[in-house]
Amino acid sequence: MQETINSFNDFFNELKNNFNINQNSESLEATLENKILIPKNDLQRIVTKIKNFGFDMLRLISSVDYKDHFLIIYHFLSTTKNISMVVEVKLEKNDDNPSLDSLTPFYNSANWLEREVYDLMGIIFKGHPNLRRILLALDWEGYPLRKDYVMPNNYHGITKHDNNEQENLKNLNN
Amino acid sequence: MPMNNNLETNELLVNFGPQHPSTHGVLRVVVKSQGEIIKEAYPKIGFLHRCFEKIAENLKYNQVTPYTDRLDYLSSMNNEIAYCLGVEKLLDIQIPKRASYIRVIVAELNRIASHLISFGSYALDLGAYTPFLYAFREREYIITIFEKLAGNRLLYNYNKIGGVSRDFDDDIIKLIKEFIPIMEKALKEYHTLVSENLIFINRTKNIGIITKNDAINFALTGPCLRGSGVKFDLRKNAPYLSYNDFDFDIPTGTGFKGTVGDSFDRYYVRLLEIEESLKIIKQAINNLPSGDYILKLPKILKPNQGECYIPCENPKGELGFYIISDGSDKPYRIKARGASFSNLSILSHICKNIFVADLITIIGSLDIVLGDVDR
Repeated sequence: MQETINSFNDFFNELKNNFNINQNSESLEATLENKILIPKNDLQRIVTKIKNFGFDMLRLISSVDYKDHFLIIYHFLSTTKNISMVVEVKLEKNDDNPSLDSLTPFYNSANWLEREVYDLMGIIFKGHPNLRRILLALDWEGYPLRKDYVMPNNYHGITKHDNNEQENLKNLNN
Repeated sequence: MPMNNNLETNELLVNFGPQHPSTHGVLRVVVKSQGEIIKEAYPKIGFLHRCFEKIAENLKYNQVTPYTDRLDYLSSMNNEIAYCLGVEKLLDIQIPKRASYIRVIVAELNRIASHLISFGSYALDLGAYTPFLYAFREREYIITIFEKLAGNRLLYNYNKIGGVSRDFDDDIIKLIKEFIPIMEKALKEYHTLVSENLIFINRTKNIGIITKNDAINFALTGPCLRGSGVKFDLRKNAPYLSYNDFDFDIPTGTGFKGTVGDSFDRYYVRLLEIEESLKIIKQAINNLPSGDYILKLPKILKPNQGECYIPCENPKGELGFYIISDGSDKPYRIKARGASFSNLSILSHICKNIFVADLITIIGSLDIVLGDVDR
C-alpha cells in the first residue's frame, strides 16, 4: 500500500516537472487531493501518460462557468491501485465557442459524459464521433448551465408564464 | 409448398418507445432489426430531465436536500447521504457517532428495498408474475419502518446537514430487529423460486456479457461492475460514514451459471448483496451508540470556499455530488454524477446481433432508474 502511494507520488511529481504545471492555486482552496491544472494543448499527451500509469476509469467530466473563463474537470480513478486523480483544463472565453480535444479514443465513458457537457454548457469536443444533444430536445437553443443563460419565451408555441398577468388584469378593470 | 429461399428482408427501424412497460421508466431505444435479430440498438434519453443542477444554483444548501431525493427515487436515503456528506466536508464538521450509525442502517435498508424492486421487476419482465409480489411483500416491511421514521413511503427528506432529522425510538429498533430473520427466510425462497429455475437460467445465462475491461472503460459501477468480476466497492475502497466498523464481504460475479459478466451474474450479485446488507444492519443495530442525532448548526450555512467530491455506494452504482462553493449561502455549482447514466451508455455496445427478447433481459439486468439517468 505504501509502495503504491510512493510510486504515485513519483509519477505525480514527474508529471508536474515534465509539463511545467502547478497545482491549481487560484481562488479555490484545493480540498480535492491530487489535482493539477494543465494547458489545453497538452491534454491528450498527459492523458496518455495517466492511462499508462494505471488510471483505467474516467468517472466524471464536469464543467464550470466562471465569469471570464470555463473550467473542465476530469476525475480519474484507478481500480487496481485505488487512487483517484483530478485534472483541470482552463478555456478562455473568446468570440467563438470554446473547444477541446475529445477523450473518446482513450476512454469509452467519455462518449456520453462529453455529450452531456456539450449539451448543457456548450463546449465543443473535437474528434467526438457523435456530438449531439443528449438530455435536452434536439432543437433546443442555448446552453442552460451558463451563467448568462436566459430562458427563451417561446418553444414550439408554448409561451413562458407571465408573472405580472394578474396585476395587468386588475389594472385593466380599473 | 416449397419454401422460397430467395426472400429478401430489409432492416426495420423499430421504436422501443418511451411508453413501454419493460423499459423501467421513460427510456426510448431505437432498434435496427432484421426479423427477430437486432443489429443495433441506440438508447435515447432525456425524457425525465428536470434541470436539477441549474435549480440547485438558486437554492440554499439545506433546501437542495429534497431535490436530491428525487434523482434515483428508489434509494432516496442514499442520495441524501451522498449530498449531506459533501456539504459536511465543505463545512468541516464531524457528525455524531449515533447519527453516523443511523445513516448506515437506513442506507442499507434502502439498498435492500431497491434490490428487491430490481429482483421483482426483472422476473416480471421475463414473464414470471409471482416473484414480483413476493418481493413487494418484503419491501412492505421496510417501507413501514421508514414511514414510522420519516413520515413518507418513498421520498423521505430524512437526512439533514449535520445528522438526521428524527431519532430511532424503541418501536423502530424492535421492527428492524424483527425484519432481519424475515428477510433471511425470504431470500431462501427467492433462490428456490427464481435463481434455480431452469427457464430463468436459460434466459439469462451467456446473455449481455460485459468483459472486465469493457466494464471499467465505460465507467460502470455498482453491481454491473462487480458482476463482471471487478472487486471494487466504495464502502471498502474509500470508506465513508462508519463502514470501517463493520465486517462484511463484497460479492463478485464468477460465472455462476454461465460466463463471467453475463446477466445472471449481475442479478445474482444483487441478491448476495442483500445478505451482506443484513449482516451490516445486524451489527449496527446491536451496537448503536448513544448520543445526539444531529449537530446544532446555524440557520444560514456558509461553507468555506472550495470544492469536494465524495462518492458513495448507491444500490445502482456510484453517486457523487461535485459541489463547488464560493463562500456564499448558495452553491456555485453542483454536478451530480448519476450511476445509471454511465451504466446505460454501454447498451449500444453489447446489443449487437441479439434477439429482441434478449434486449429486455439486458436492460433489466443493468437495473437503471431514469431519474438517475436524466436528473
